[in-house]
Amino acid sequence: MLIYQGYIDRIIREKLSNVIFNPLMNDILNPEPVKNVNWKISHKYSDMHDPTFEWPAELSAAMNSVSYKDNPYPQPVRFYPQSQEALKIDILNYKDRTSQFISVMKTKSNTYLKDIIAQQVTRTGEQPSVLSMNKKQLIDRFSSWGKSFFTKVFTPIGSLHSTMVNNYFNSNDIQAYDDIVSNKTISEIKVLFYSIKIIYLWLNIYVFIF
Amino acid sequence: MTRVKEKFVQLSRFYELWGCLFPLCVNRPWCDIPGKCAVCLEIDRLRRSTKSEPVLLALKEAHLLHRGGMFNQERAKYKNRVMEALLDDPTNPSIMSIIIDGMDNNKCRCPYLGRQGNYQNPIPQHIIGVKEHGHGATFYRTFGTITKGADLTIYCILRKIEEWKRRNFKYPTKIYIQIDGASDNANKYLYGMLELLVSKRMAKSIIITRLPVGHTHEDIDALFGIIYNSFKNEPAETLLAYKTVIENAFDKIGFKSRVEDVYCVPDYKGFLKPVIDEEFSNYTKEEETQLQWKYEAVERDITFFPLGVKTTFKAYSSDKVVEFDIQSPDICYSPIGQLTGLEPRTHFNTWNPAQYGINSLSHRQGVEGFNILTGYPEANKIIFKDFVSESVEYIKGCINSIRQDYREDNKPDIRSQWDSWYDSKCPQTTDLNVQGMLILVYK
Repeated sequence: MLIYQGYIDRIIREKLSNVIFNPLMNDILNPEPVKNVNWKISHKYSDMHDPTFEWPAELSAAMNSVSYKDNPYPQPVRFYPQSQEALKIDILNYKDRTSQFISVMKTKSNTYLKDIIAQQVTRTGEQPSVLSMNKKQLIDRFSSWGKSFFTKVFTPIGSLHSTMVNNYFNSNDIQAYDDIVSNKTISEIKVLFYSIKIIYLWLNIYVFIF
Repeated sequence: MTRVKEKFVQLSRFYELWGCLFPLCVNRPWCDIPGKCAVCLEIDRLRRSTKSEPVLLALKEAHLLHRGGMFNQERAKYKNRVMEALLDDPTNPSIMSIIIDGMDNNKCRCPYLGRQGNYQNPIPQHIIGVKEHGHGATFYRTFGTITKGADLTIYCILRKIEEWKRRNFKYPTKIYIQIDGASDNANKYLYGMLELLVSKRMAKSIIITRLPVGHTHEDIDALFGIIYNSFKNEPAETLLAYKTVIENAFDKIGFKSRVEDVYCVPDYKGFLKPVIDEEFSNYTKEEETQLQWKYEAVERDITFFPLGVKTTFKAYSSDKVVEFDIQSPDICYSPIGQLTGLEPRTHFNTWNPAQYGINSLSHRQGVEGFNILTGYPEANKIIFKDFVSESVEYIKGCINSIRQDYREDNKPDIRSQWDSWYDSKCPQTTDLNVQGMLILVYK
C-alpha cells in the first residue's frame, strides 16, 4: 500500500482534471491486442526462418557450431577447452625443451649469459645484478625463469624474436628451437655494436696520432 | 584566378567583425565538447600537449573523420527519420516521430526572480521535453515528488502516443523515438515496454535510437535554449506564470507547445519486472552498446516469438561508421594512427541477433531477432508509484516560505495562485494514509 495513496484517492474523488493520468492503461492491460489496426504483418515467421539454409563452404568458419534442429550440420567448435591430459603434455614438453635450452646455455660463455640476463627488466624497471655471479649461479637463474620470462627476455614483445620463442614453446618445430639457440637477433646487434666500438677506437687513435 | 591580397586584423577587431557579421553564431567553448567521448578527449589532450605540425594536421584529420564518419552519419540518419515523419500523408498519417530529453535542473526553479535575483527556497522543478516532429512539443513538469527514471520516461512516451491516438483516432503504424544515452532513457524497462506496445499491436514497428556518447546534441536542446532565453527579462513568480512564459516564448516563433504538470506516475518498473528476461543485460556496456533497437510485429510463435514481436538491435543506425581505436602509434597502420595513436577503423553494422554466424544466438539458429519479455505481465492494474521520500514535506516547507514572502496584503494575486495550487493539486502531508503512517512509525 502506498504511503501517499490518500493523495491519489483525493484527486480521483475531487475529479480534478489534468492532475493524474495512467496513459493507455486499458489497452496495455487488455489481454487482447488492439483490433482496429489498418496494417498487416508483413514479417511472417516463415519468411524469417529457413531450415534448408546451408552456409557457404568459404564462410563456414563464421557459422555457429552448436548442433540444433535448425542447424543439423554444425561446424567444429573453434575453441577447444584444454583438457587435463593436453595440459600435462604441454607442461612436460615445456620442461623437456627448457632442459634442452639450458643445456645449450651451459655451452655459452659467462659474458654471453650476462648479456642476456642484463636484458631482463623487472616490473619496477630495475635490472638484475649479475656482477659477481659464476656460471652455476647464472645457469640456476636461467632454470628458475618461467615460460613467461622468455618472451620478455627478447624485447620488444611482438618482435620477430619473441614470436620465435613463443613458437618454440608452443610447437614441435625444431627449426624454431635452432633459431632461438643460435640467437640471430642478438648476434646481429652485437656485431653492430662491436663494429661501432672498433670504428670509435680507430677514430681515437687517429686523433691521438695526428 | 588571381589571389586577393589578404588583410590582417587584430584579435579584438576580429571579434567585433564577427559580432556584426554573425550575430547568432556563438563560438562554443572547446572544453564543453570533449569529456564523455573518449576519442574527442584524446584528440583534445593531444592538441594541447603537442606542437608538432604534422601531428596537429593528423589530429585535424582524425577529428574530421570522427565527426564526419560517425556523428554526422548518425545525425543524417536521424534527419532522414524526421523527414519521413514530416512527409507522411496528412490525410492518413501513420508515422510518429518523437525526441525526448530532460532540461537542466538548475534552470527550472520557481519562483524565479530573474537572472540577478535568487529566491532562497524555491519549488524544485524538472522539465522533460518531448518534441513530436511536425506537431510541436510537450513539456512535462515535475516538482520533486517523482524521480527521473524509466517510469517517467515511459509515462511521457505513452502520453505522447495517447495524444497522437486522440488526434488521429487510431494508433500509429510506425513510431520513431530518439533518446540520449542517460540511464533514465536507455534501460531495460523502456525497451520492455516498447516490446509490449508492439505485442499489443499499438504499433506495427517501433524504432528507438540513441546518438553516440558525447555527441547527443539535438533539436530538442534548441527548444530548451529558447526556454532559457525566454526567462532573460521575464521573472516568473508562480507556477502558472512559469508555464505561460514558456508557452508564450514558443508562440512568438509560431511553434506549438504545451506544459503539462506531472504529480505522480504509474509504477511501470514493478509492472514489467517479473516478465523481463533476466539474461537481458550488457546492452549499454561501453563496447557492447547498441544504439538502435527495432521492434517489429511478427506472427506469434510459441517457441521463438511468444508475444509476436521480433526485437533486433544495431550498434549504430548507419550501416557503416568510422570508429577509432586508441592504441600505441607503433602498432598503427594508417598515417593518422602512426602520428597520433588514433587508428581509424570502418565498422559495418547489421541487425542482430542474426540468423546464423557469430552474431547469432546458439539457441535460435536460423531465426533472426529475440524477445526481451518472456510473457505478458499478469497484473490487472498498474499502481501509481510512491512519492520520493520527504519530498512532500520539502514542498510544504517551500510553500511556507513563499507564504511568508508573498503576503495577502502585499501581492494578493501571486499568493492566491500559490494557495490554490497547493490546496487543490499539490500532494500534502495530510494525504498520508493510515497504513503509511504505520509504516513510517514502524521505520
